[in-house]
Amino acid sequence: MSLNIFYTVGEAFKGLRRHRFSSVMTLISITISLTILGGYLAITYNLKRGVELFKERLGVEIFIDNSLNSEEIRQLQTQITSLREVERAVFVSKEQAMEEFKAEFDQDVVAIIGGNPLPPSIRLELAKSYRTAGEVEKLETKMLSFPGVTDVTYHGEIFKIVHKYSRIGMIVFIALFLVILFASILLITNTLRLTILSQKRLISIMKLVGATKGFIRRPYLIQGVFHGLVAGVIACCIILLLMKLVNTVYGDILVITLWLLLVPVFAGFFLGLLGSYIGVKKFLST
Amino acid sequence: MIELKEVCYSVKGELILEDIHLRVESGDFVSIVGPSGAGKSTLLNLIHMKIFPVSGYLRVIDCNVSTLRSKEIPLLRRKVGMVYQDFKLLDDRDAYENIAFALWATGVKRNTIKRKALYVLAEVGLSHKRYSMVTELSGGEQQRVSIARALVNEPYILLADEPTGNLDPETSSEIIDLLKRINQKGTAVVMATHKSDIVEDLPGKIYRLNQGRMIE
Repeated sequence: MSLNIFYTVGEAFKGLRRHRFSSVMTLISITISLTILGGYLAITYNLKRGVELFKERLGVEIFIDNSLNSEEIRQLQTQITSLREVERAVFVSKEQAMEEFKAEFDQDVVAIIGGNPLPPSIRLELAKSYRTAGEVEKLETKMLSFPGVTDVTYHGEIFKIVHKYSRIGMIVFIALFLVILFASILLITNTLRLTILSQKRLISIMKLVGATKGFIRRPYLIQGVFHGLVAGVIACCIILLLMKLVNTVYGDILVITLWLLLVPVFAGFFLGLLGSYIGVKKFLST
Repeated sequence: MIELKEVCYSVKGELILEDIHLRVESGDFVSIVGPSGAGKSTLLNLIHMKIFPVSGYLRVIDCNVSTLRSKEIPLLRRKVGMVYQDFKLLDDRDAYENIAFALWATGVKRNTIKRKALYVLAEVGLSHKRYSMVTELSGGEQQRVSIARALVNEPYILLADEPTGNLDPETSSEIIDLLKRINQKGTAVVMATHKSDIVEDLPGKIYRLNQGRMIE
């Protein structure tokens, strides 16, 4: 038996043309589902990125004994940088600390108290997986055991709050994502099922003349994938436009990545395939 | 070709067909006559393997219902054409496309489709209306398209379920003549009808069915 692939594809697209109205309605429904799904992922991704940026800024500062010479400071910095918990270690001299102080408070402390009371320090940017309150506490103990380290400061409470809420946020995100995904699958599957329902007569005639199940199914799978892909591309364009609009109004606060934009397209492909498979299955079994 | 022995069919405990015996050989013209609700359509649907008996022996060509696998049904239907009272045509296509569709759906190669479809349209006398939408055709012409579609895969058996049910006497007579011509070319025809007058002049066996039982 010939596969007649060109005829199958032709028949699939003729079917779309013959049932223009239901095709357009299907496309609109799937586009809405995929826009919600993709938009939700884009928003969540940017929120997560915002939290990570915030955590990145919650660095740890190690204060060093005033008596350490530059060679000893360099050795200490090398030692700290080699730790797996540390992404980056930047030395801040007494003078730099004073400059920052002046810039921040607009007061010349040296003139008031007759000397620079600020100690030199090393500011740490932590590796991604160590930006938690527990890890920072462990790191503090470790740092204090290093000779020349007098004090370690960090925003412990903020670390705890950010960690706690980002965990809750992640659980909520996953739960909501599953709900949206489930709703999208239901909506897309049902929409495609209704589209196929309108062609029930066609299927019954195909069965009557002796078409195999695979043969009957094929054009509907092509239609489902076509609907899914086109809706995915439209959803992708809508999300891109909305994100660009937000960035224009609020100044580049959102990051647009290729994979984020491709999610609706891939989701459209798979859900279109799944939806049409489920939709046509019902009519093949009866 | 077709053999039924002690076949029973029921729906939710209600017996629709009881103890049916039927035998159709190659080249036969068999008429099944009976009033509405006698079980004629059910009997044809059993032969077309649309439904299955609850008991008894049923064989169509080389397919025994007790050993039949579901994937064999489409292949069987290519050897057993079927026409209905309501034609079951695709209204959004022309006569040619309705027939080409049956060929396409059974995997016939593209270059063969046109030749076969035009040939069978000529056989039923509709070459000149090949590109007319089926909705523009008369009832008799639509039934001819339906018969052409059933014949296009060159079946051994043609099942006709009330083929003249929606037609006036003159057109009915034309359709019966067409079925006779098809039968003369070697295709076995099994026709179910409630019009006992039209089967009187027909060749072959006549079975009478009433309330799900063969009475004659």
